[in-house]
Amino acid sequence: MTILDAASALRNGAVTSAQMVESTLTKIAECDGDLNAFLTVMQGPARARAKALDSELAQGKDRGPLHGVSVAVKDLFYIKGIRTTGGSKIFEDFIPSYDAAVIEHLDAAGAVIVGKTNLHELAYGITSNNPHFGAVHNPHNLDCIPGGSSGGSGAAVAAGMVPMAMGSDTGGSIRIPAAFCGTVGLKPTFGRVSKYGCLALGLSLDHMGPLTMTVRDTAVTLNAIAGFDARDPNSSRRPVEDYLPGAASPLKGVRIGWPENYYLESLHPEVRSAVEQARALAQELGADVVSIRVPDIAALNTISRVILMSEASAVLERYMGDRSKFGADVLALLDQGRMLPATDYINAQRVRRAMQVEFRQVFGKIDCLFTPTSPIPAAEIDQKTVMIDGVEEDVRLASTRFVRGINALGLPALSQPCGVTAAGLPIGLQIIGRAFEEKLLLRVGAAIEDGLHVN
Amino acid sequence: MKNWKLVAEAYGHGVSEAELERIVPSLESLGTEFHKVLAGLPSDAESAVTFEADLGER
Repeated sequence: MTILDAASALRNGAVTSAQMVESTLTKIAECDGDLNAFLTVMQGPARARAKALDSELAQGKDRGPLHGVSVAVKDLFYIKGIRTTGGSKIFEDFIPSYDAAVIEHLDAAGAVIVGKTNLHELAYGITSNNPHFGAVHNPHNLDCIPGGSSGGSGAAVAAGMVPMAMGSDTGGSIRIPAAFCGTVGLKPTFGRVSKYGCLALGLSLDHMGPLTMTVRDTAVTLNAIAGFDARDPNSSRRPVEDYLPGAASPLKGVRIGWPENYYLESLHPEVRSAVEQARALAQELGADVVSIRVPDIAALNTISRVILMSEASAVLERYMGDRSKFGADVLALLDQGRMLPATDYINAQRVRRAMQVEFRQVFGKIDCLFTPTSPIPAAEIDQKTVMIDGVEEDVRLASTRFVRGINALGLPALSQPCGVTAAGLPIGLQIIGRAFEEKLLLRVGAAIEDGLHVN
Repeated sequence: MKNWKLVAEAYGHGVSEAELERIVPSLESLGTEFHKVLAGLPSDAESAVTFEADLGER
């Protein structure tokens, strides 16, 4: 059931929030043994909250579409009194004394948080094969990764345990699990959603956003969580909008960029054909599809890696005295970050600014850009490399190739399902927009979703 | 190629030889790619991270 379906069922009396929570807890009990999507299930608080929200609705107090709906959050959002591990041994007993801004917003909107989802250790990786809490499995094929780092959130939504789970995205960590699990995932513009009360990884790259079953559910969630927060130094004062697209979302007049270079090179053939199908649909719906040469994405990815490694190692430096508390892959990344000179970090930030200007010029010619989210569908758990067009590539680098650089630009990017491989694995379409133009992205995404019927 | 063993020892991070062997290829390839990117950077390029003297007044 989607958020909007649940909202309707709650209001026409077909179900109560308390019943919905029971059904969610039952589903988690049934599925999570296989998926390992949850690190903490909050039965008691969720039941009490649902009961209170049912009373409010009965008394005519309606907080909006999330009122009484069960949701989950990645285990790096602080919830007062509830353990927040970040998927790490370092924080296995950490209990925050306050709520993250996103949690405050979800509470105000009436959402019922049923639990906290598993993730790649410290949100620093794309497999969600967590050395401390176990691997998360992809609901479409239990032998495959769900993507990461928000893998538990992707798996929880894809398995129908909850209609929305919050994630974070530092180099693709919302969009990759969305693509691999067949859900929608939005990385909003940097500064659109507060990072206050979230475990940090890349200070200038971290973004918070939802994973949902539909584009409209993502819009409903963004309506609840977007807005200025003085406690986050990167938070934007730009006014928020109503992000929910209408029932019919025509694309007439929308200029959709179709990359001439980079994004359609070296990718799985079924990914290419699914994304081409989405492009054809956009044309049928009235969009102007514009072939466009994009700036040097490989260079953007390179500087993004330098920035992420430097920032992550700086943030986590204080915990590195005890190396036994880190898994091998995260430790390897942190060690690399500590060996990069400060001059590399500063020069990467200089290139970043230059590339922002180049991208601004591109977005003067188009309103949004279509790309695959990932060149490959979900890899198998423990698979290290993948063959693409006869070339062997590292799974992590391949999976992040189309998403990583967008974090350095801070632009909003949506991933949504656009097809399924013959092996039954989902394929994601990425739609990248101008800064703070989430409304347009979601309008385009809803039109594609309505036309493709792949959810 | 940098002598990463000496770099690691100088920092005193406690990186073992086996751990160093694992990360050196990645550091080397990233360094090569990065310095190619830097070759095109104008000398007057500003940083994306800026200092704001009016902090708190925005």
